[in-house]
Amino acid sequence: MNDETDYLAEGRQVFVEESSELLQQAEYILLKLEDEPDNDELINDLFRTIHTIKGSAGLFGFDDVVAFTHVAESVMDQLRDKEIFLNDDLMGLLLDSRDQISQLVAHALDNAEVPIGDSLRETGEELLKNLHQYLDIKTPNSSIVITAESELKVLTESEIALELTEPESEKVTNDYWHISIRFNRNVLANGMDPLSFFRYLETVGDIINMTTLTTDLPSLNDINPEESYLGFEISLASTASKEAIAEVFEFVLADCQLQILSPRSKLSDYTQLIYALPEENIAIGETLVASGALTEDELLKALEYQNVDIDKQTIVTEENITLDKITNALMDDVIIDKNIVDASNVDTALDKQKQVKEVEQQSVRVNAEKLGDLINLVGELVISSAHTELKAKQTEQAELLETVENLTRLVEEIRDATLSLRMVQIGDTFNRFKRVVRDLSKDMGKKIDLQIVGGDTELDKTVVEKISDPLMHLIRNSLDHGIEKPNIRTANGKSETATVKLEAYHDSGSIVIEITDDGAGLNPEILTAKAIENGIISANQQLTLPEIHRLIFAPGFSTAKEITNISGRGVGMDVVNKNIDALRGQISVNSELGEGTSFTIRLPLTLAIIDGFQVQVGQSSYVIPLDLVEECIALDEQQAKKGEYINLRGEVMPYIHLSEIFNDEDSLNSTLDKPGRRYNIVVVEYAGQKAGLVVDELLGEHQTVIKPLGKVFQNLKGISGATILGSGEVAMIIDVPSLIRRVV
Amino acid sequence: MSFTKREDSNQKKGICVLDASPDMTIYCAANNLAEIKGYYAEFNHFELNLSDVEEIDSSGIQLLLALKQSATKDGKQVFLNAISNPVAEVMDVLNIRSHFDWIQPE
Repeated sequence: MNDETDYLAEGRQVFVEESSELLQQAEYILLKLEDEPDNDELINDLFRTIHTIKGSAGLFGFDDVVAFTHVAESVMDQLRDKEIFLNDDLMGLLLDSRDQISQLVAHALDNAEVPIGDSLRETGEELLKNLHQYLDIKTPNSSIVITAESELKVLTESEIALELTEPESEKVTNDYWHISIRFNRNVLANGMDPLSFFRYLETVGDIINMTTLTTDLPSLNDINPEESYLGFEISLASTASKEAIAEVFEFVLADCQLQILSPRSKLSDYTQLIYALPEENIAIGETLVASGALTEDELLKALEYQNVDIDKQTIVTEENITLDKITNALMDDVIIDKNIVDASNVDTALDKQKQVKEVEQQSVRVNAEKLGDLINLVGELVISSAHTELKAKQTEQAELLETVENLTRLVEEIRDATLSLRMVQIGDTFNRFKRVVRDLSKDMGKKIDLQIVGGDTELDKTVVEKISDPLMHLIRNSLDHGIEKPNIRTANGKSETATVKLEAYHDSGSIVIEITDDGAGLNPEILTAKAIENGIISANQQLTLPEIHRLIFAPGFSTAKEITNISGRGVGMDVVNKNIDALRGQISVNSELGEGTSFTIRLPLTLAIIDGFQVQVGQSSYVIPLDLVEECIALDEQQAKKGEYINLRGEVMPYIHLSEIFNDEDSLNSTLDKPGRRYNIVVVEYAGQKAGLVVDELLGEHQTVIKPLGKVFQNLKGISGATILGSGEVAMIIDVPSLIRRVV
Repeated sequence: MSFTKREDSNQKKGICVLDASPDMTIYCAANNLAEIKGYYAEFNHFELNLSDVEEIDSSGIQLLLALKQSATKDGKQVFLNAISNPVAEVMDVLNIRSHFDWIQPE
C-alpha cells in the first residue's frame, strides 16, 4: 500500500517536470509560429506537445486539465489539417489557452480535491467559448473560400478552370485505412524491427492487406545487411482513431516516413500520397490497386490529378505566388502526418535537426539531489587524490608517482565530466523571455524585437535558476523605462521597432550575460537629481558618469514618473544587484543617452569545484582561481619599496601584498628579516582590470573544491570560500574581484 | 557457421542445399550475408531449408528477398523447401510467401 503511494508520488513528480517542460515547449513553439505561421512541422509539434499533456493529465485523473486541453487540442488538430489558419486572434487565444492549461495543471497538483476557483473557471469558460468558435467553422469548403479569397483573385482564368475540374468531393470507395510506411536505413541499427510495429498494429485493427515493397532492395553484392530497405503499404480495418493508429509507430516516427489515409479519403489525398512516395508513381499506383486501396478507375483519376497538380504549380510559379499558399487554398484536407522534408529546403531541415537536438537534450532525467551527491563525492575524491599525490611525492618512488599522476589525470576528467552534467544551456531561460517581451510590448503599445545570441552557452543549473529572476527584472526595466513608444522613436530618427538583445558568452572562467537595448538610455541629470532627492548622495558630490549610472543599483532608487505594474517601485535594481552578488557575480551598466543601455552580468561558471593556483604567504596557503591568473612575475626589492604600482611592459599595474591584507605576521616579519629576498607577483585579471598580488611562494596548480564559509565569516572581505588541501590543511580562496576593486 | 552446405549438395548436380542456422536476426546478419555470398558465387541453383530457424527479423527476411531478387536477375534459381513456424509467421505478417519459389518436401 505504502509502496503504491510512493509510486504514485514519484509518477506525479515526473508529471510535474514533464508538464512544465512541455508547457514551456508549447509556448516556445507558439512564439516561433508567430514568425512562421506556415511551418507545418511546428504545428505538428504543437499538437503533439498538447496531446501528451492531455494524455499524462488523464493518467492522473486531472479531469479539469483534460477537459480543457481536449478542446485546445481539437483546434490545433484543425490547424494541422489546414481547416483553419493562424491569425493574430487565434495566436493570442492559443497562448492564453496554454496559460490556462498551465494554471489548471498547477491547481491539480496543489489541491486536486478542491474544485477550481471562480476566476480560473470563468477564464476557462471564456476561452472555451472562443475556442469553440474555431471548431464551428469546421466545414472545409467554406474555410477555403475565406482564406483563399485574396489568393484566388490573382488566378488566371485557366487556373480557375483547372480548379473547377478538380472534383474535390470525389472520394475513394475503399473502406479501410491506408498506411504507407518507409523505414529509414538506420532503423535496424537503432534496435527497432519494423516487424514488431506490424505485430502491434494488429492489436489496433485487422491488417486486410500488406504489400512489402522490395524496389529499394540492392543486390546481394551491394546490400548492407544491417540497413533496412523495405517499404510497406498496408490496408487496415480498424475503428481506432487516426491518432491511435499513428501512436503504434510512435517510437519510430523519427526514423520513418509515415502516411495514414483514413477510410474513404479523397482521391486527391491518394494523389498526394502517390506523389510523395519515393517509388515510381506508376509502380506505387499498381501496388495500391493490388492491395485493394484503389480501383483501376480511381488510380487513373488520381494520376490525372497529379498532372493537373503539376500544371498548377507551374502556373503558380509564373504568377509568383508561393506554392504553400496555393496548396493551402486548393487542397483543403491534405493529410500528411509526417512531413516529408523537401531536400532542397535546407532551412526546414536544419530547423528540424535543431529540434531533434533539443528533444534529445531533454531526454535524460536525473534527480538533482543525486547529482548533488555525485558532485560532493567527486569533491571528496579530488581532495583525497590530492592527498595521495602528496604522500606519493614524499616516497619518491618513480613507479608510484607515475600511477598517481595517471590517477590524478583521471580524477580531473571525472571532475570535469561530473560538473558538466549540471551544466545546462541558458537558451531555455532566454526563450522564456520571448513571451514576456511579446506580452509586455503589446500591453505598452511598443514594438520590440527580442534577439537572442549564444543560447547554447552552458552554465551551472543552480546558477541558471538563480539568474532567471534578476534577468526578468532587467528586461522588464528595459522594456518599461528604456524603450520609447514608437512615435517618440520615429521622432528621434530611430526605427519604430526597438531591439532588445540578450547575449551570453564565456569569458575567462566566467559566463557573461549582456542585456542591450537601443532605447532612451540613462539620463545622468535625472539620475543625479533623483539621487539627491532620495538622499542617496549629497548635492555637492561630484560623480563620474559610471558612478552616476551605478546609482540605479542603490536601494530605494526609482526614476519612473508613474509607477506601472511592470516596474518602478524602486525595489528592483538593488535586489538584482544583491542576487548577482550572492552568485559571486558582478553587474555593470553602460549607457549612452539617447542610444540605449547595456547591462553586463558576469557570473562564475560553477559553484562547486574550480582549478586553483596555490600560493603561500607566511605559513598560510591561499588559492587563486586559475582562470583569473594571467601570469607570474618576479618583483625586485627596489620596486617593491617604491609603492603600489609597477610597470608591466609599459602598463601601469597596481599591486598589493596579500600579507598586508590578511595581516599575516609571519610573512610581514620574514619580509623584514630577509633583505634582498625575491617577491612573486601573481598577475590576475577580472573584467578587463589587471592587478598584482604579492605572495611569498608559488605552489602551483591545485584542484579546488569550494567549501562555503560559515555564517560567521560571510562578511570577510577578500575571501570567497575555503578549501581543503591534500595535506589536510585549510586554504582560503581569494576573492579576486573584490581585491581588484580595492586596489584599482 | 550460419549456413551449412549439405554433404549431398554436389550429388544433386550443381545444386547447393543450404540449412539455415537458428538465428537469422540482425545479430548474425553480416555473417549470414557473407556466407550466402560465398555460395552464391559458386552455385547457380539453391535449395534453402529454413526449418531450423528459431528467430528471424526484418534483416533476415531482407536477406532472403535480396538473394531471391539477385538470383532472378542473374538467371539463377532459389527454392525454399521447408520453413519453421517463426519464419512462416513473419512471412505471413509481411505477406511475402509469393515472393519465393517453393518446392514441396519430398
